[in-house]
Amino acid sequence: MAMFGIVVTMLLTLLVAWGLTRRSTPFVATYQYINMSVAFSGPSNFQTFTLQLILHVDHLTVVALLAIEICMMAAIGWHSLMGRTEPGAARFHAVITALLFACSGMLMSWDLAELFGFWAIGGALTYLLLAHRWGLDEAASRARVALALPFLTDLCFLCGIAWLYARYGTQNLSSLVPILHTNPGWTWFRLMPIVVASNQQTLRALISVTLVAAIAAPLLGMLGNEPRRAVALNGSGAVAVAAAVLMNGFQVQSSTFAIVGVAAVLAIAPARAGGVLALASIASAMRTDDLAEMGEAWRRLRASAGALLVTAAVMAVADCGALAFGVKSRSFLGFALGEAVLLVAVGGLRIYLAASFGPLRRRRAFEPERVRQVEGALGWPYLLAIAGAGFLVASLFAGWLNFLDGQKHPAASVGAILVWAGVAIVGFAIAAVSYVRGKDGALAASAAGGAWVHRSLMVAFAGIDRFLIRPTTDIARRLEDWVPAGDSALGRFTSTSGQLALAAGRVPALPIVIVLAVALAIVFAIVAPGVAR
Amino acid sequence: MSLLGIIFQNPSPSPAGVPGANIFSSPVLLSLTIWVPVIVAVAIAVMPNPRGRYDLLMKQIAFFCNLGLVFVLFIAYNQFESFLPTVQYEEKLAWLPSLGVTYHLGVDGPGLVMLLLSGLVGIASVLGSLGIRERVRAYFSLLLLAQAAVNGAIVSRDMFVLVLFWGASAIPLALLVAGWGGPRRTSAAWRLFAYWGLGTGVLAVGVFALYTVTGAQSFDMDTLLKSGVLSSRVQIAVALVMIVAAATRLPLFPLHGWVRDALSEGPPGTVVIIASAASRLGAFLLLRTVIAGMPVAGHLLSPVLAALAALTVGYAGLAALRTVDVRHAGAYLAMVPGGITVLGLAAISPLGIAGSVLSLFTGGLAAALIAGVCALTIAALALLGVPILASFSAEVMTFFGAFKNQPIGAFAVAAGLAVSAIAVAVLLRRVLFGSPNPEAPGVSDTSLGETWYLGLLAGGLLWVGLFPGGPKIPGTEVPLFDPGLLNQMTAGISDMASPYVAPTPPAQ
Repeated sequence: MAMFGIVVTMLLTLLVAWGLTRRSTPFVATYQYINMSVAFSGPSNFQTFTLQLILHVDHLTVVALLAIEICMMAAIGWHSLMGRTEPGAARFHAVITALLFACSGMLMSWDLAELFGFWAIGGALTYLLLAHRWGLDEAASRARVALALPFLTDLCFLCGIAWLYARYGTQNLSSLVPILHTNPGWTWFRLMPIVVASNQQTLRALISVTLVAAIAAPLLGMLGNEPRRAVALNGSGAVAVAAAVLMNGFQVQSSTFAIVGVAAVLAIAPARAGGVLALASIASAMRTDDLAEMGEAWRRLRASAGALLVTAAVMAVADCGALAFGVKSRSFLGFALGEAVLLVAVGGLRIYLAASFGPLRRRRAFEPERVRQVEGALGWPYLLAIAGAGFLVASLFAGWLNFLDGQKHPAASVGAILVWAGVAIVGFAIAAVSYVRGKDGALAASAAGGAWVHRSLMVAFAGIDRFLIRPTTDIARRLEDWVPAGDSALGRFTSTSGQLALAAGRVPALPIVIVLAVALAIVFAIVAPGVAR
Repeated sequence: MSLLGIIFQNPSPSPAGVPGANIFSSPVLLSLTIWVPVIVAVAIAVMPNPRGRYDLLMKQIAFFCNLGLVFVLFIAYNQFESFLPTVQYEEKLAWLPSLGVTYHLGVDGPGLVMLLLSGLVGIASVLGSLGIRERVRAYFSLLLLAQAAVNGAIVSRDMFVLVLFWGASAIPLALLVAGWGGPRRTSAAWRLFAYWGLGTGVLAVGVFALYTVTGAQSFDMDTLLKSGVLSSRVQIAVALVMIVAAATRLPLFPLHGWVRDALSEGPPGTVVIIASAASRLGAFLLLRTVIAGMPVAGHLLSPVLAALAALTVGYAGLAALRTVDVRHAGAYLAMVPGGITVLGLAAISPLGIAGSVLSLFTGGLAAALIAGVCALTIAALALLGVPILASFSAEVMTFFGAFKNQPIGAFAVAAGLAVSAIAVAVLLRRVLFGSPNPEAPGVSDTSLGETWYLGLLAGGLLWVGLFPGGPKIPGTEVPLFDPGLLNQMTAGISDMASPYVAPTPPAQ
């Protein structure tokens, strides 16, 4: 049923794509969700609040939708064969279908509040997908982090939109573009108003952050032998490279530089998903999640290993087109991004080499001879790998970029593409040499690095727990104890004073007054000038 | 234009009317919402019930009484003229002329929102109380009295009457907790009564201070708050008193001492009322008095309100994270919507105030769900303001409105919401996926009555979330049976927010 839904969505997307070839303007559908008058005076743009659900479909949206639909289709197809033993199949399919809805909404939104809405739905559904395996403690604790961090950033996003609204009185892209005097051709990048409204320093900071992520992610992927984590981090590194190119495009005001970053992401997304699925097939067949225990996939699981190789290659080379168009190789930015590409290439091929070659050793309750490819699951990683490769090849041509954003872009020089592809090839060579010379040694070094990272993370988490979480939750706990104790004491005090008042009412008044008068006289006499002083 | 559009075309220049509007009207519409429950409560209380033979009948009477009230409220909602800034369905009778006390009732947009919340919650509370087996007669009498008092506090336009209803709502609710609650019900009931009693006392002091200062010889809200004679100092002093009174109800940190015990020990049907309509009265009071009636104090004290909102949301998240008791966690998380409502008020911008009014409704429903630790996933999503549910619109409007005047407060509340999200995740995991406690008694899923009441609360959130402006006939702007909560609530908000509107920039 879920697969049927995705196929229908894909067919509809293709129909829209066909429709777009027949017209020069995007498809736009509008539904007025909120339209209320909040004031009758003051600036006119703050007198009403309007939130429209605007679905805006242009070429880039259609292509991105297709990429997402392919990924979802592969995930469901693969899961129906390989995840048969997982609990809650109906829940999984329902959540993933809803996720497709949220992703489609995000891509088509034309109002920033609407975008935030779909974004938040997507975040909640991602969390529910992670919660699918909540029975496991580790999955549960990771899912909590996976909820809290994106939720915090989602709220930052909301604050960003709120800031724009507070300043300009609108969050609709059609209204914001003329106010911000930005290139209307950039509206495919929905967060553009926030970026444009920020200053150059913020943009530089964004580029720095993406650069750090581009280098750190593949590096962290190489530390440790957990294959799916490594592929995911490698993919993040590749996406960060594309994001850096995109941000650089905004900084130098070049629409070409910006769109090439998006074209690269379109290639990376299916490749990363394909890599994860291929590795999951291998890990499932070999019953291990440790690269050091894997091997012989090329002989026993050739199809999965082949898909893994293609996806690793696509991820490593995916940014070449973007870099060739948008970054000078001799600049500081080029140097840093070249390093990132090198690391992505090394990290990608290392996973393939570790899983595909070397002995697959017998373990307890595991017989290597029984390792078999699950036939039906084969096609999905391949489909994703081919889709990624297709997007990669397309991203090298200016015509594709023209098609995506409807503007004219110059062609990248073949020499520049070759230079950046050469960086990736050098990375492949480094990985091949090190793994051919001593696979076990390389994996042992990775494992040691992984253990060090794990220890460091533990220390960091312990520090966060010690100095941030525990003190704050202790404050909450103490308050939790203090508030009832405090109001109980207040209640006792009130009750006691009431009883005293009642008791005082029964005491004869005259002697009390006389005693008080004498006591007061003594006190005044003592403190009066000339007695004590 | 389509055929349907032609048929339902509105000939008048006024906003599009709902088909069926103005069919029925009553000059005592609001009195019905107060006195019908009282009469039914008295009738139930004096009805003979030998050995509990008519327990079921009493439950049915309470249910149909609430159903009738919701029908009346739906008519009131449907007929409400959203383009009029004045109070509607007004009733005014002299009560104590020598003191200037009048029986003055009326609702504007925010009041209507509160009444709708109270009506929905009223039915939900009866459905949630179907499991009551002991002293059924007394239970349902008290429940109906509590609803009547809450409705009275919502619609009263005379501050003396407001104080009476405000205080009166505490008594039956505390008795319900004390009589039908969990093992620690006595202390929970005392705590609830003490805090709400304190709030009532403080409110009375504020009202009498206003009465004395204005010298108007009237307790009418319009006279006391819109007389224009309140100096800045008086406004600030009275506003501080009102904030304390509201903080005991809503509740706001640090006057939240009753929340944990009352919401975790109270019977489910009572918890629904306490967590939603009864406690939202706090924010409603702030809106009515500080924001609408004392603009100088509203401007000066808005940072205080924002700080209280941030502290409340942050504290609720942390406390829910820390506690190991699931019902305590639910009780703490029920404080979060109140914080968001107060942030909207602290925004002192028209949009923020509108957002806080909407969050009175959405927050009330979400708090009722989460405090009952039921329909957990929906409750959690509603609490965090996930789209499709109505709380999304309320949070977006509140944050958008708050960012201009209270950016730090908005950031702080956002951070508190992130902590609450973690707490929600922990709660969901413990309840849905945690290992069962072998010493705990056997569990069972919700009964039919509970399912209906959860469905009602969740359905309210979903309906307003999907159609905040009401469903329209396709292709037209003509509303179907529901004119839209967002449209109806705007009546009066512009008037309240007018002192906070930014000046129009000079023409270039």
